[in-house]
Amino acid sequence: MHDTDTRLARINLGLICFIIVVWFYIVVTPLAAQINIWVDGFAGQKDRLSRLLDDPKGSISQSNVNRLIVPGMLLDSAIQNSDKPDLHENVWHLPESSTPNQGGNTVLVSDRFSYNNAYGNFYFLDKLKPGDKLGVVWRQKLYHYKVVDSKTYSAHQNDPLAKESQQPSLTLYSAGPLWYQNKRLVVTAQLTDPQ
Amino acid sequence: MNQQRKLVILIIIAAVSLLIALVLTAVASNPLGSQFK
Repeated sequence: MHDTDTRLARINLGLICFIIVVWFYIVVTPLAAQINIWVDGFAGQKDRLSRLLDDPKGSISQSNVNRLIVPGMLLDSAIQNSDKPDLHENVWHLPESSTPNQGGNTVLVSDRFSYNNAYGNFYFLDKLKPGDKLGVVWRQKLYHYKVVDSKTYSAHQNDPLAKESQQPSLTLYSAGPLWYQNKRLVVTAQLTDPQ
Repeated sequence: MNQQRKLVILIIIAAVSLLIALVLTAVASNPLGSQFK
């Protein structure tokens, strides 16, 4: 009888450990990006990316890769041009939209969070405020933008993607808030000057 | 509480926890991808 109790007690201890591990995964995964930034320091990384945009020599624009640089989101990512987007890994240029060199509205799309990819490129999209600076390197030219608007839409409402713009503008499009997969967070920025 | 009763309760909690984790992983695995296929 005593042996059976001891064996059951061990099995119970194993189950308790298993439950703790599962709940650790459920609770901590959405916070992984925040923890990562807390460890590395948000301000330091933001300053480093801001300096890239403010570099008077414009060395960033010598990159052969189209890039999106957003200091306020700690983002420096290549822009994918493809018919089959991989939104987990890349910032994707919506083919129907314009491009920075053509004027009009350029739309860039990426994921924020999923349990498969806890730190998506646009994880910190909600941190952007009007006035924040961002840059796009497009065909070896750096375009500076300033955030003018941040809004949440229904996922079934495609209007922000179809928006025509007289002024050269940039739209960053993702899911959000983090726990609402049926909502879309859309940040609009306007061109300030091409380098 | 005897160990057998504790075992039953823990198995139920473990199964529900695992189910929640699997559902979250599956449901939130591709938040935007299907919109642009």
